[in-house]
Amino acid sequence: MNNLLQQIVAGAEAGSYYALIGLAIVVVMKSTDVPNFAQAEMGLMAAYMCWWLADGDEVGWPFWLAILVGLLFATVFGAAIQFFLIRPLTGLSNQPLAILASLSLGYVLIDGISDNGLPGFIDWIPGLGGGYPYGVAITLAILSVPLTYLVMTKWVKKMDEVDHFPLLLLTIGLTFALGSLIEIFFGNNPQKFKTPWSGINFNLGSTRIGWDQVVSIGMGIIIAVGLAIFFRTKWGVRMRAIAEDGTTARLLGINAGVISLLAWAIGGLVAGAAMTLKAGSTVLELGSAEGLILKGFIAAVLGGFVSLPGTFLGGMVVGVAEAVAGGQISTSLQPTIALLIVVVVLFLYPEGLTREAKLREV
Amino acid sequence: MAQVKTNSSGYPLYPPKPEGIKGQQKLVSAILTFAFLAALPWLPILGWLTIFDTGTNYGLGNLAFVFAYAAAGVGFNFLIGYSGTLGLAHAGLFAIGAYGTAILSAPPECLEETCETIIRPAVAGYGWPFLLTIPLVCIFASLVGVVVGFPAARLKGFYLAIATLALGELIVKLISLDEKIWSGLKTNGGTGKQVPIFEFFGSGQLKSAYFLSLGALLITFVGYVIYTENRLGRTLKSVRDIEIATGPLGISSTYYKLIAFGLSGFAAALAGAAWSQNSAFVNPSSFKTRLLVFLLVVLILGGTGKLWGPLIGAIIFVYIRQEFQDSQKLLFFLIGIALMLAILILPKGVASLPDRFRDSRWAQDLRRRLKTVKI
Repeated sequence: MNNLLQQIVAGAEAGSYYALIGLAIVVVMKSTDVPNFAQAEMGLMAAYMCWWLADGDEVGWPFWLAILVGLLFATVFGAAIQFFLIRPLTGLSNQPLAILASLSLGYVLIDGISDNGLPGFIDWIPGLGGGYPYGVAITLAILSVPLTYLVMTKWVKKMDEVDHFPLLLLTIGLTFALGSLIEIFFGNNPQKFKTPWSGINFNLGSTRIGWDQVVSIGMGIIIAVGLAIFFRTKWGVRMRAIAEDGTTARLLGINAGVISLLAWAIGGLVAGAAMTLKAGSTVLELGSAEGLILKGFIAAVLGGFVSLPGTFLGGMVVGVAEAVAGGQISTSLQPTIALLIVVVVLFLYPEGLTREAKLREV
Repeated sequence: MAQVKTNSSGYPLYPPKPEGIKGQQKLVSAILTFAFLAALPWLPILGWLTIFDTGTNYGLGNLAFVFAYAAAGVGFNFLIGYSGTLGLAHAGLFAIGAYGTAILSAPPECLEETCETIIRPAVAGYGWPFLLTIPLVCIFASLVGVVVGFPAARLKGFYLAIATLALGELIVKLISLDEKIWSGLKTNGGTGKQVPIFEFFGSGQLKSAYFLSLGALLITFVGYVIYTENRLGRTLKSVRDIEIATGPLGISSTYYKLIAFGLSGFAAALAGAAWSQNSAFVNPSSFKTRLLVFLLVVLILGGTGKLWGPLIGAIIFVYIRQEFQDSQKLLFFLIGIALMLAILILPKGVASLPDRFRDSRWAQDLRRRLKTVKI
């Protein structure tokens, strides 16, 4: 029986990560209708940032300062992604994206001058393998940067109709790009992110429970409650109005752009918190986002992509079911449980487990 | 001139068919392309581009990968591009093709009655002739595809995508669980399986893989043309565009979606079989979400709903992959950027560029001017 309690605690810990990622997905989905596949990867970026700032071998700031700055980074990063990548597709200005794209292309071209530049980028132009002359780089940059700007401003247009599929693909592309960026900046070795409470255990009966597990579960609950309270404030109500009927809400004077920016910032913050908690409790590695994002989506499915309590419970249920089935029946069953749950739930309750979900057409 | 059917007031019932010349041009260009590709191993004219240089084994293998990915992409196109149904179980179906042919055609554990020499589980199988296993496995995969597509009866769009994504992952998970489910599966768990190599008349592994992949591409191309030019394709198009009206017209949208799922599963398994002959080793980890993203890149970059789109996309994809094979992080960075740019700038893919140019104001203006100038 003690074994069972341990499994339940471990499952609830994993479940709180699933639930937080799911909540981040739902907040973004609710207000901007974007299925954000990159949510966990964005959170992982923030978790790496926290580790990098706090780790003694890197920057070595005090723990809480590092966490604060890292989570601030997560928030700004989430908003930045909305500003540069999603805004143009909703029909608002595509200038930021065009400027960003052309400047980064210019940077890459100039960067190729030295041998330290990105290898192999321009190798296929004869005679330009590796480092190439200064004049060529400047000419290439002068030619290509305005061209990129022109193409981006002319061709990046509002989508004809709101369609989830291109947006899903866009965020899948973002996932890959972010994963590589993390690897480029922080290396691909698994890292141990030390927290003040890591490695300290206490006994409950004869069951050994780690403080990091308690912190993860507790923070999961706190963040979920905080989100629920936020949706009752002025800005939260505006967000719900946009989610329910965008056109009418806009006619009533709600600024959809700001709301969407806010939603992405919150999504980034929640995902960043989830990944940082996970990094503190287990290990910080590149592959950890890949497994989490699918579970996060499963949690969101259980909540019908609108219900916050449904999503939170869904994540917890998936986590506990996985751990208990893995412990009590067979470890080989563990990875299939979540997939089976989502298939069964989508068959039986396509609108999600809670009733709030009726708003959305499935 | 064929008889034009008219209604009682004399209006034609159907829009006039396009003139024959255009269809013939399409056919001729397709035949020429495939003849050129079939002759490529003996024409090492691509020497300037090392990645696709058919004079070397390296280039030959890369081109075979191009064809296999393109065939899988065409299969994906059946589903996503043409019926507008988001089925994302393609990687799992691809794995069924790769594993199915490998297991069925591998030599059995006991060659003789006495069972003296026992073959390692990594190479053991059932010993069926390879060319027989391909159609069997493909038919099996299309049945699995229909089962995977069953949520399409109730779910739409993004929700269907999640359900099928989970089912595709489930297939790969079942493959890696192996004997814990059923000892006859012989997939050798997570360690992977050696693929028994099939050779056409002793032409070597690579040439055989090349022609198998090209054959798979040809079959899917022919299938795509037949599919899109006929009633089935038009019905699916109507299911995609006006699903709400298909019910009252007596068209069961679920039925047609399931057909699309089945066809796409067939193509995916065919491509998987060709792919496994080229890679000579299959492992569950090579069929995870990553493969699905590769196939999506092939389809989206090339162009959804276009015949040549997946081939163009596969060429670009394999080129990028080989160019950056030393640096995985740069490779995935570029693939991610390419996918994002494709969605942002070219939502219909590279294959839509000619159309885009033709419809651009600049080109229309030019055409008008050329028409007025009397030479």
